[in-house]
Amino acid sequence: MDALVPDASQGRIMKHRKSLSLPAFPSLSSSARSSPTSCSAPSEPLPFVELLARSNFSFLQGASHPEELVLRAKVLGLNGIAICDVNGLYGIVRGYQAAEKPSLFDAEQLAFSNADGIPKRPFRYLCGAELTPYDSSPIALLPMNKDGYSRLCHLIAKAKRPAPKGHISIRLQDILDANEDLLAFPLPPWEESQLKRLQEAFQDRIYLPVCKDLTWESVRLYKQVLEIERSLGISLFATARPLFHDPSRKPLHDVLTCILHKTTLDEAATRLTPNRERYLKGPDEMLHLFRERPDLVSRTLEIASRVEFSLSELRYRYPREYLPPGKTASEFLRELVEKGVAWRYAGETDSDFMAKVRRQVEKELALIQELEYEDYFLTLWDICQFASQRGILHQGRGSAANSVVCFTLGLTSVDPIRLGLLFERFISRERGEPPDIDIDFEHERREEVIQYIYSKYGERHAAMVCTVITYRSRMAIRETAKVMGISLPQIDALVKFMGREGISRLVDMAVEKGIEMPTSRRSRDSEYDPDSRMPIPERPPQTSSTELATVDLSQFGLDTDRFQKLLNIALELQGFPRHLGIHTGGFVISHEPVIDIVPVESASMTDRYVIQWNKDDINALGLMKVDVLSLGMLSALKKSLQLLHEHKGIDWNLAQIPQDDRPTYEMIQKADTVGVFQIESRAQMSLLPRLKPERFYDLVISVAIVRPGPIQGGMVHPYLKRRAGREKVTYAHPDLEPILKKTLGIPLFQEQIMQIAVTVAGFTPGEADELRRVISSAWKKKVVMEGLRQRVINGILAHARDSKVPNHLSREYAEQIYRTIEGFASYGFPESHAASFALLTYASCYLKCHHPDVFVCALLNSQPMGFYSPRQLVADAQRHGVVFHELDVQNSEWDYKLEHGNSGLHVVRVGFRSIHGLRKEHARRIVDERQRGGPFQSLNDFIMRTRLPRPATLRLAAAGAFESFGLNARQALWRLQGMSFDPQSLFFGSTLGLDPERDEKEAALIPEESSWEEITREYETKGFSVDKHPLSVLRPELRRSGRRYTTAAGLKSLRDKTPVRVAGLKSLIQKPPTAKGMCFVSIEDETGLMNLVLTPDLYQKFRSPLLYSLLLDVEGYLEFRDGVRNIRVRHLKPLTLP
Amino acid sequence: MNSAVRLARDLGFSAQCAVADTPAGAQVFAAARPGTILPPGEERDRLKELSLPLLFHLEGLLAWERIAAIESIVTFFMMLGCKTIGDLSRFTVEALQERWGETGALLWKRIHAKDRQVISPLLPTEPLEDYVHLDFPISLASLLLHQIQKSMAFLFARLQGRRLIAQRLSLILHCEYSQAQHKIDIEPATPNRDRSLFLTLIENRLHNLDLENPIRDFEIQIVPSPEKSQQLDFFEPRESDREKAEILISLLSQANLKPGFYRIEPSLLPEKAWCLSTFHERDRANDLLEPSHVEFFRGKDNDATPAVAPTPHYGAHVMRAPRPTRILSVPQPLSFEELERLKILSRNPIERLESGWWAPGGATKRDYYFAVSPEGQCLWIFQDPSTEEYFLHGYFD
Repeated sequence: MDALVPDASQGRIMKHRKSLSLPAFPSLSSSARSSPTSCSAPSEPLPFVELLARSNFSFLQGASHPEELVLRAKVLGLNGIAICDVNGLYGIVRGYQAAEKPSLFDAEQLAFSNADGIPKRPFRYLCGAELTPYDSSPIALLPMNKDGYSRLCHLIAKAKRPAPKGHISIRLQDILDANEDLLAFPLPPWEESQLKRLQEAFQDRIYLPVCKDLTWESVRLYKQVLEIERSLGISLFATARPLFHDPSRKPLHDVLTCILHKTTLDEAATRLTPNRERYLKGPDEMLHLFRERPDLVSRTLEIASRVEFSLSELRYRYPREYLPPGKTASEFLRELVEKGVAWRYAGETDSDFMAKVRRQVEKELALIQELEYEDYFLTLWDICQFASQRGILHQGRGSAANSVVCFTLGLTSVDPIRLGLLFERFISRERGEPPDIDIDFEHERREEVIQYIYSKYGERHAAMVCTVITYRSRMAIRETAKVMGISLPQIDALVKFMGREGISRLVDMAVEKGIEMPTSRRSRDSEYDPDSRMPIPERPPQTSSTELATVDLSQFGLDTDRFQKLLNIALELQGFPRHLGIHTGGFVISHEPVIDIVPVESASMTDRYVIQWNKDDINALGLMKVDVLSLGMLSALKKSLQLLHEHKGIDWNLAQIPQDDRPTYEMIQKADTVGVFQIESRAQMSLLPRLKPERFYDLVISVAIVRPGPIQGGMVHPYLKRRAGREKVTYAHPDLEPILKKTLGIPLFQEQIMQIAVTVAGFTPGEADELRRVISSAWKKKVVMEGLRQRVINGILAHARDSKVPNHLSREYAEQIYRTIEGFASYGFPESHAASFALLTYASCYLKCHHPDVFVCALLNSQPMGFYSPRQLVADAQRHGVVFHELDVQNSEWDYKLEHGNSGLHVVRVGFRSIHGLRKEHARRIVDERQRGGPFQSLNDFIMRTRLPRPATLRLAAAGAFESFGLNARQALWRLQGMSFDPQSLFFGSTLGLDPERDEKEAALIPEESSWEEITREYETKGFSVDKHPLSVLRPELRRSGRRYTTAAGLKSLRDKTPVRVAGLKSLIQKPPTAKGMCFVSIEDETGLMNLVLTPDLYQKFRSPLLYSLLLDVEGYLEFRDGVRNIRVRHLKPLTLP
Repeated sequence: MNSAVRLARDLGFSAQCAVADTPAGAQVFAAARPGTILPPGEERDRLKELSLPLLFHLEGLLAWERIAAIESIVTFFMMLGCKTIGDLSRFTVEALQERWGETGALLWKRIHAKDRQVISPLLPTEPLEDYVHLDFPISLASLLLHQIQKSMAFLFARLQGRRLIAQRLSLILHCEYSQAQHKIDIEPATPNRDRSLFLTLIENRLHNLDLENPIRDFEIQIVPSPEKSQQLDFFEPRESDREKAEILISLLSQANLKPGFYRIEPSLLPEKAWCLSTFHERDRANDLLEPSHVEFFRGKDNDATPAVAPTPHYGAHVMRAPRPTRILSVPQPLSFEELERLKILSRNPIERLESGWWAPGGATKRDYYFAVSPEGQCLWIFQDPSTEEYFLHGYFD
């Protein structure tokens, strides 16, 4: 035996020679085996269906997207695949879509893949779930038909309801009781007694899976299962039990396992898979593994053929509780629409116009009746009726605004006839897709609407749609680094280094350091862009090469190798589902129990039930949902209207706000839009002076134009030039004129893009619809987008060639159109949606222009919402002449309120809601006590009557709320700390325990509060000061410093290119992905806002002060163009005083 | 002083040093200005220069009873515009006592260098407790244990110095994102001073804790008892054999003997899949082999609902796989000639193991085979697929 052991000291390690007759099993290092295209297809391969695939919707127990599994199964030539995730049906619709409704562009890719020697086969997509009863081993269940599917949904829901998140609670007997129409695949470990019980219930619908993954366990189980086959006669089938679609996902799976176990890779030990064999295998590979029992491979097809169920069978009806007796849904809808026409068009005298309205109403009603959508409209009408009765402001958004039926039912507020909107964008017979009506309610009162839906329809018939929370770049890096054993401070440093750019900054660094490029890996291997909101990065690195190349990786606890591994895995982890949340307002309401269609589980919010699918899944299956959304601006507008009524005697609703008001448009043209709806962002504000909106439709364009779609497509500047008359309005092809006339020949809306695709790119309406689906889906495949690009460009060029009329359709134009489409994939508005929003934009602008006191009061009472903090809103209102009164326990209420002022405007009294950390019930106690017993006489009186706890009282004192007692904040704090707050005490509410004379002397020791300290205290307690701006306090010292600072007001008198130095408080930083690395910053001083522009290299250079300093000292030069003043930054640092 | 600091550092303590009139003063200067030596009588004046947040260090031999009380005092005076301890020292003792009770009075004494705590080796007064505020919250039991170890090292040193043994150890873990806390009481069958025993018992308890809400700080308190009770009666009736074994192990450990049992170690690599360990750790291995996944939750009607959250141990079965009687701790490379003499019993590998892709050297990849030597010895060999080299890894009887 000793002879076998070589002398290690000799170091004779011989290489294996190929000639040696030794194992021929594929080597681990062989990538050929996993490569789909390298599989040599046998002449007549055995049929094989993978019946136990796990996707990443098994939450940390699967390392591939469902779509990846399905696509790989097709490419490998499988006859089908069943996604059986753990404890749920979360991912089945995504798999279904990939299998049954592949994107038209995706199909081309698939055809391309299949052309490489792998024959096409009919493909079956199956779905099931794996459940683990607490008294037996796990069992995978596959529904054979619709009834079986409903039973499975019930089982899952039953298992999830009583258990906490991530757990299930179900007995084996529950599964046995619900066995009908289900196939059962008991998973190891197997016990004969349990198998006998299962066999008794499931009879010939039970099969045992056999898996060979080159572990001893699989050998042992194989022997055991053959014994069971002999003794119990249960049929077997072969499976790879894949945890991922490709062996290269093993590291990612290990990371997921560590996250699941809350451990590190070093400590995970046997929790990890022992090898990478649990990947999706093709028929030939399975045949090789089971060559002694090929029947186990072919049996999979036999099992799959027993399944008749497809998700396409799922249909449901809306409830009809609202229907008056004796009327059909069609009759009732017509009746309501008739009433609505009379209401909406009261006083309309133009008979031609009314005839047009009538024609449109008839057309829409006929189509709604044909497609049987009446119940859907009536359900929404019912919900809106409830809201109206309760005085809850609401308004429809989205494509519903294209419908005159929605308008007359009061679901939307935009008149589609007057605006010339196309109904076909909303419902189309050809598309066969359900309509999508989103309705916004006041954000503070949406809960009332939700509770109404639950109370009316019950939890069995109404459930909310989920949202799948996925790993975003920071979390992906953080979790991966954690399991790689990197310390938390180093992870924090790494995440801080990533900053707002996210993981792309690390990718840039990898490129600069010459580390294998993760983005190339993405483009090669990863078929999905995980971050749906981020355009696929194609930009050059933003930081200067040298800077990133010289970053020391050891500060993050990494070397090159570990950094590369970390980055690659984090990139793969991005977009993986992490957990479920509740959609903000998506409801599924059904006549039949919702649980027959999809498992329903309890949400973390009490009495909320959520289905296991998100809105995209619902859409994909053609199911209808009701979107009960919320909008902060609706709350603000409602409050504004109430304040107008209460304080100015003006009794308006939204529709009665005067239209086409010139001063309002003049205000908008000056970009004086802080706080208003939609056009308040920095980008919008820089656009408005150039766009110069003069009428409502201009606002529609304003709302739609500053979106990634038009920006990425380079449509903004051409539009502005044409609008200003600096460029002639032309059309690349005469066919485009009707489509683009309203927008001066430039496509700005989603509908226009689709129409262009049909008109000049050779898309059929079906393909155009597919285009819409692709560009609006939450995730998008790179291959699909590339296929789309080819279709658009080739289509447009072909049309240019074949067209008989002269045209200017060029490759550049085609590329531009494609970029616009790509931009719409990130975010883009349909015209109708923009129009709905523009209504609110106008209303908010009108109120700001004519009633700034009312508007700011309502806005502050609706916080948090919008772009700006209360500090910025207060400062802006003050610049418009609004006076604020300080917080005072004698006068303030929870909300900000209006008090009579000396000038035309009311004075706004700061409310208790401004104090950080003060509870509403404490504020209410103060107000109630004041109303009951009159003004407070003293601090002692206040404490005795309100009985607030000391911390709440100290908060009030720090915010300066006791100044009406003649006490400044510091004095009040000192006094309060010496008082007894114990109601049982003899000295309750007093300082009787103290020596007054001594206490007086002690109080004198408290340092005098400087102006700067005062403002700091106010910012710490409330976030703003109504008396002073920090810059006004610093101004004298800035003047003394000898540096010449220009104020915001002073900028107005300077000419273009003037060098300037400004100091200000940071208001807003925006670095939109569409801006090619440019950074836009707003700072403010006591005279107004200033806009800074930083180029990408300067942003990197001054990143630290920009992100971490509140007060900035900026040098640059003024840029004055089209009425917009920006400061081009040259140097920036934290503001320091001499 | 420098030598003392060096010695302390060598012992693993991050020590700083200062000399002042009172222990509290020395501590605060050690924190603020390490190496300071104040002339007698100057502490009070020199304290005035220090910033207010340094009050947290003004403890000396007696720690602040409630650190939150000092925190609120610091916050309060900062709101009043006080920046230094000097600003605070202008207030009278009554003013502080009336507002913050005994804490206020003690604070006043300390900032006026009047809290002269007794320092005597004959009368040690350090509490047998420790409080650790973690710079970064920890959610991994192993990391937490590492921090706890540090505290226990010096607490047990104190025990030893005072000739005491620990009757009970209480560990209170405070969570980061809530007021929640986990309390772990360790009370061995017999009071003892076996630090490793306590650590093992803590470790076992920590592994059963859900640390999803990470730990921000923790407290350790030891209830001591006189050493005489350490007369360990091995034959005294005990509740379980396990307790007896713990005492035996404890006795052996104190005699510098390393007791233990060979046990299965969770590792995918066969040569690392066993080790010598104590009784207590055997539970962990059993847990890994057969992870218990059923948990019980209190429902709305307060009944205990059993529930399952699948947390698979994909490679747990590897520890159960048949292994040769003798495994080489370092696999021996096989030369071509040696390989040629072997008869390999299967065409395909019988087992494929892969581990450690994240490690600096890359993944360990092995395809295992059975082989028979010309002498008839059954062998366990593997091939590294990346280099295609073969290694001998074990002998079967």
